[in-house]
Amino acid sequence: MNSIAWNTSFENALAKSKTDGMLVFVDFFNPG
Amino acid sequence: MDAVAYPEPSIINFVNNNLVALRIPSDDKILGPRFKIKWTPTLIVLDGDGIEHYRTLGFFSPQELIPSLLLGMGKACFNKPDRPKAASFFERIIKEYPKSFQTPEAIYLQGVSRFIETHDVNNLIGIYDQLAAEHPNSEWLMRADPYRLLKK
Repeated sequence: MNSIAWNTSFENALAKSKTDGMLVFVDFFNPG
Repeated sequence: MDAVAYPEPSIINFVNNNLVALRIPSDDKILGPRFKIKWTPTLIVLDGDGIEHYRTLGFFSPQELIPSLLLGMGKACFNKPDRPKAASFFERIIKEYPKSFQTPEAIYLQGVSRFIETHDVNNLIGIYDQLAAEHPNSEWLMRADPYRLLKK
C-alpha cells in the first residue's frame, strides 16, 4: 500500500466501519 | 496534509490498518453543514453510526497525526463506554509518543478511565503527579489540579 485507501462515500464508509469494526477517520478538505 | 503527512509510510500503514478513511470536500452541500465545517483541514473521528467523538482543526505533522488519531479512537471507546479499551489507546500514546502534544490529555483520560472502572482515587492522584512531573506547563495539569487535594 503506497497511499491511504480513501473512501469518498459517507454511507459506504459507515457501512464499512460497522462491517470491519473500525472507526471512521474523516478529512474535510479544501477542494480548492 | 497531502504534501507532508498523508504520503508518510507510517501514516499510510496506521490509517489503512486501524481506520476507515473518508475524504469529503468541505463544500459538500449535505455533510458540510451537518458537521458545521467552517475551515480546513477539519479531521473527525466517527463511529459506525456517524456519531462524532473527536475533532481537530488545522494541519498535523506526521509525528503528531498518529497520537492525535489514537486520542480520537480512545475518546470513542471512552464514550461507548469501553473504558478498559479507551485506557489502552491512551496508554499507547503515553508509551509510544511521550513527547507528543497529545500526551498530557492522554495521561488525564487514562487516569479518569481507570478511576471510573475501579473507583480508586489513586488513579486521579496519579494523573496530577504524572502531569506535574512530566508536563508541568500543560493546561491538563491545571485541569487535574484538584486531584492533588485527594492525597492523605
